[in-house]
Amino acid sequence: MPSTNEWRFIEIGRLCLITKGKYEGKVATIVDVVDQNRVLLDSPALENEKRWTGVPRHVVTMKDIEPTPIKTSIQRGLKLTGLKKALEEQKTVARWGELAWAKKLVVRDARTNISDFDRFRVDRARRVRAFTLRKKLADRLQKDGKDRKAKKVFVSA
Amino acid sequence: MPKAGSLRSSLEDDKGIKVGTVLILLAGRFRGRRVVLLKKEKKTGTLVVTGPYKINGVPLRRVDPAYVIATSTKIDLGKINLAPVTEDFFARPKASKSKSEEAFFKKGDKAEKVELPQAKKDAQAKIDEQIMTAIKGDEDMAKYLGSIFSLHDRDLPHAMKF
Repeated sequence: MPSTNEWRFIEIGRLCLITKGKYEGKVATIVDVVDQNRVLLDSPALENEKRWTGVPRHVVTMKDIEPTPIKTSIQRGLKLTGLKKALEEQKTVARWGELAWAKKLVVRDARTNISDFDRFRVDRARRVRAFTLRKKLADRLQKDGKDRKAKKVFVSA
Repeated sequence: MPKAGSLRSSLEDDKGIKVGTVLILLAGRFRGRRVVLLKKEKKTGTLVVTGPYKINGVPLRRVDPAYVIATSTKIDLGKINLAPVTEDFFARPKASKSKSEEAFFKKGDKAEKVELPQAKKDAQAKIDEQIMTAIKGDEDMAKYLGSIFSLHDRDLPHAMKF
């Protein structure tokens, strides 16, 4: 949990991760607050950050978003061009991308969208690695005279 | 033979079907095998595939596109020569219908082993050779084609991308 001085306030300029709905997985800035439960989000599409951006301005309930530690200094209700400029200048999305959180999401993407061939390659790499480690251990044990039988590992394919 | 299922759009592009796509066979003797797509038979709508035979034991064979998963993996076969696979390549050899008494008594006997005609063996070799040169150097691809697809405990087939 973040400490008091690291609280992620719901405020103008706060970058939030959208966790539900059509734009799930994207990141957007709070541009205005509607009421206790709702905020106005916007995420102008940035060329280098297509994975995270590209959300049209719309109202969203707080339940469907997750505030991040990243914040941009903007005025309330800033329009699209102004917002885009501010985000680019303050490198907001780039800072978000640096976070372990963002990197984990990218890894999760990769795992979900893995092709059949890559799935095979990953599988094989794991098996080869396991075999190599066990063989090394078995060789070492044998050398030390402990002579335990190396567990037979099926690596083929 | 009944008309095969319609070809999925994932197997076709502007120039026709994507020759060289790796397919996973879902049914039949070779279920689970990964094979290479060669062409689509217009007459029956089936897909002609090959293992290659040396890699996974799947010969030149026709396959119903409905019982196949097309993966996104594609082998660049260039202009592959499929001439050996003639129009009647897969035709069933006509069994001699002799109505003589000999044939009648022979019916109960064990079927004689029929050797695969040399022409088919040659065709298999010629086509597989082209595929092998295409995947030369890619050790992973050869092993991939030799592997068998199956679902494991935590797999969610509806969420898997191929």
